[in-house]
Amino acid sequence: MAEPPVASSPAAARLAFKLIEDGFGPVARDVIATLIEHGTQQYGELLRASALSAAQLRHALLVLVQHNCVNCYLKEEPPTMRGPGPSYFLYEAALPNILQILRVPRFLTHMFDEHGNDAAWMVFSLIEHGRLRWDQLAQAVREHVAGDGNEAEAEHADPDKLRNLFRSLVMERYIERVPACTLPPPPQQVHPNARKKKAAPKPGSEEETELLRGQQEAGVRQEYQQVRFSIPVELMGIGQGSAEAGASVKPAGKRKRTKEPITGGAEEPAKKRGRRKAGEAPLGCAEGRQQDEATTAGAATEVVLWRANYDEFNRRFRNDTIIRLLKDKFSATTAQAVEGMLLANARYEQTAQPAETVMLSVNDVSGALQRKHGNEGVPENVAGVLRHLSEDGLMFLDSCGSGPGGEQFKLHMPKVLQFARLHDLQAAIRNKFGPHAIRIWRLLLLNGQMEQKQVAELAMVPKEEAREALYAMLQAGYLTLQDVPRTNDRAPSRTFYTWRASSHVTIARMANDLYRAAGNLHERLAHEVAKPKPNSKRTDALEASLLELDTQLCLFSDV
Amino acid sequence: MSGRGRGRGGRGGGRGGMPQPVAKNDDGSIVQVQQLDGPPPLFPPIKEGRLPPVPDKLDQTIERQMRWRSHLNASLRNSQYFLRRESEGVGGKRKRAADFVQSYREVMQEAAPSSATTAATGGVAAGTLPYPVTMTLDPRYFPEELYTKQKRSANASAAEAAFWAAQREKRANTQREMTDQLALGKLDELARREDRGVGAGKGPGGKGGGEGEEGDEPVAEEFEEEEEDEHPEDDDYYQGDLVDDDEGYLDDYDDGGGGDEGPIF
Repeated sequence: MAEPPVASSPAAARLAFKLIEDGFGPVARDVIATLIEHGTQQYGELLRASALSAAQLRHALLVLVQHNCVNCYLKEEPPTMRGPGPSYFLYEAALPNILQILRVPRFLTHMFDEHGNDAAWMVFSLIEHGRLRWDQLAQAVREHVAGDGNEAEAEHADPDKLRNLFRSLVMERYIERVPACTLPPPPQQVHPNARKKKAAPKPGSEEETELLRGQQEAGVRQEYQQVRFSIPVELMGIGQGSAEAGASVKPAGKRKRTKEPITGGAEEPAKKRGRRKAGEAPLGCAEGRQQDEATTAGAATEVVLWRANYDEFNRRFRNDTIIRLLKDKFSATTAQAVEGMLLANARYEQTAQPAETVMLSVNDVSGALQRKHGNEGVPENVAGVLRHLSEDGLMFLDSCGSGPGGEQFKLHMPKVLQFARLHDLQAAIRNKFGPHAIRIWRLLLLNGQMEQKQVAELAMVPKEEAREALYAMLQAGYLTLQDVPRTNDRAPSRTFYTWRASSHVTIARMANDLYRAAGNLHERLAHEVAKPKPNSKRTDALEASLLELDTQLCLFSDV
Repeated sequence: MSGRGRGRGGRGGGRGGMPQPVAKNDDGSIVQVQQLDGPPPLFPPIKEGRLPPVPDKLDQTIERQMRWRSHLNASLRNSQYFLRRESEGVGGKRKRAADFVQSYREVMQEAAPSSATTAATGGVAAGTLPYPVTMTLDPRYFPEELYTKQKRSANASAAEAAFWAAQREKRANTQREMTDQLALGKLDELARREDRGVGAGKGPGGKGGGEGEEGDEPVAEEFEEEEEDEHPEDDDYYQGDLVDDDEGYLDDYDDGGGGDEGPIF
């Protein structure tokens, strides 16, 4: 059964309010609070619900949309007998994006370790400003590098180097295009229990029209996914073929309020190149470089804004978690082989949380490892290692027969992550409730439902201690109690009470507790910093705890 | 519901209120519950030995992350993206005043900022917030309703004023015509009645034509009589012969001791 995402819980919302107020001020916090309390709204409804003036609300919305904390959608009502239906913009608080603010330092250290100083400043500039054009981004990176004390390096830097770096980050999906505000709102998620089996709609009926409209909207969203990581022609570099550019850029669907569709095709790059060459300044000088970028930006008919893609960072952290777990559980060689599978699967992933990898052969795995680490990074007998892992009782890997590239395997990522979460969860229960409580919890997880007396006997724990541990975990939400009455009046003396432990429920509860703890830590840190003489050791410890807690939040909530 | 029974003893004065609920465990013994005096403290003291000691040296990765975090927070706080609350009044929190005149005055003040305020903010009028330069306000990425105001041109305003004036005049003309028609209609009706009266007087059994006014009365009386005849059938409130005013109720009361007629359902 699908459970509601933990990121929408009250504890997560409380943390989101604090993060927004820290970064963008109390006015932005009020807007987010109104959106979360009242849901997705139009501008007029938001103005009435919030106690802000029109100018303040507009400015706050612009800042929040700029930083991707509020999503905009264009809702078009169906046409009526009188004519086409009205269309209006809807604003939605992007709670998952807001909660990522806590993880930004981890993104930046990861980027610094993987791609160097310039890449880290590039991502920093994008996060600082929310969304930027390429010329703005290049200028911001130069200023940051110069501010680091490397003024000479910033002045004489090769312009192509920054452009190549940007291209590689886009191809690795760290940076993406900003979606248009004219995309349709996402479809409503219906709970699996509420889904009813409907017969195919009759042709010409209203249900068929609604179904077709839903398919059309899904098509428009899919078109954005196709151009999300495509690089515009002007950033492909001098001498790049137009066919390559045309292949990477696909036209978007035509929407009512879209003035200019996304460019595509081989004809336009030639025209643009002709226009650019007329005003192009000689390369090599700073002024010429800036003029070139400005001319490029001005000459292009399409304005492209770029932003950091948080999903890709979380995907990398997820892969690191999987590799670390398999290294601890099995061996370093097994972890290397699985790393190859994850690298080879990266380009096939369509969603942030896929169920399993595609079928990958041994050659695919070896090739991916060779590209990343060279020949030394490829373990011997990759096929044997993967076969051994597929025969293990934990069933992380499935063997899918053999193909042209050798034996084929599929990795079940949710199973590996669930194992990692259970591992951390049990450590948390032991620290919170004691060693007897963790023994009781494991017993209930394995045996299903049991009575209190049975629990105490099988766990070899005194009756009073078992009762205290059971009720403490029940109060925290880590266990559930089921009453089985023998009579209709449900009298306690004639009712059986059985205890149950569910991994899904406990993990969701744990994630909620982590959000609450993060909110409390943030509150305490703000309190300590606001003191006239803050204790630097204490504030540093609080900040470090907050960042380490976010590592747990990433595992339980975002991967 | 509580007032119906008479044998319950009412309020039971002097015995004290309802008994306080008591928590009991499985053995039947009472569990002592701590009574709280007021809300719990925001940051309660932590017992010794409950938490691990604060480490002297932090992890290198965590230190680097802390540096990035402080850098980002400082840049955001000092940027134009950080929106502070303005004081109450012009451009500040919108007051939900019950007095319409008060809120209208504030709206007018917002629309026409004073010169002193403009000078104080360096040429930027109060109420109009300067947007950060890095924002690319493209209609593809930002809804136009957030950054464009519908500026009415002078021609458009004049055209609208003329339209509403024309509508007003049209409405006035229509009302005038209706009044005229009514007035004319009344005169016509009076004329028709006069003719009817003349016609009735000339016919057999009718009154003389000179007695026009007198002739009106019997016509009116007949009309009224007709109304009286027709009314009872249409009138929902007319009861006529169907009224049962309870006269004769209990006159022929039979206490049921006699004939066996059986139950009536």
